[in-house]
Amino acid sequence: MAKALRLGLTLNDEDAKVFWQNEKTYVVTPEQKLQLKAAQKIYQSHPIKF
Amino acid sequence: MASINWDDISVEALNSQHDFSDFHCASEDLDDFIKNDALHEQKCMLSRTYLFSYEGHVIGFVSLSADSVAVQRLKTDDIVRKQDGKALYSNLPCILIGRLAVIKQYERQGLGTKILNWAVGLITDVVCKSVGCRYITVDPKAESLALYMKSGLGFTQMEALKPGKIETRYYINIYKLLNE
Repeated sequence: MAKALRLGLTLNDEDAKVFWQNEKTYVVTPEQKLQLKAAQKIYQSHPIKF
Repeated sequence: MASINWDDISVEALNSQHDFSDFHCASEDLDDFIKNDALHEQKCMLSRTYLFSYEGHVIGFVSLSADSVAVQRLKTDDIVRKQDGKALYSNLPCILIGRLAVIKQYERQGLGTKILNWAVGLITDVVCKSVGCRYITVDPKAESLALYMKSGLGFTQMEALKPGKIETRYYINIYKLLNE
């Protein structure tokens, strides 16, 4: 059996500090926005039929 | 081997008719997952797996799960408040890109990057329009971390690195990515 997913992660102490610090300094760059648009186009070129 | 044109690849959700007997990627764990666990996990509604096929053969897959991250409140760093400023969410909704693989023959041709982008496109273009979701999360294996870090999508470390443990969780803040 494959390794189980880590669902419902809880961040405490050092983990929480790392997360909040990264959240505070999280910057979205124009390049990231362009890459997101490219990702959406890649999905739209092969959309899944639900 | 000639590289594959993305337009020649078909994408479909996993079902019981798919055959993975000739599927071999670089990770035994991922081979084990797609051959033995993926369909069961999907039936149990723990993950959904999408397959990428070329000339009738599955050459890659990605699986997604609804997830959440609970974060201890730090007095100075609370960020997710209701508009009245009183209530605070410390349990935040995510979509986990749980597993992503490409068969050995087509490694290092950009297919993993395309599959990652496809999944991010699905999450941001479809899922986020239907369900509240603040982050995309991944638990990359050490050998595939570069795929995420070079994606240009802003994957950021989510938890502290532990002594003797080289793997950790990374995330994209799609709230900021979609709204800033």
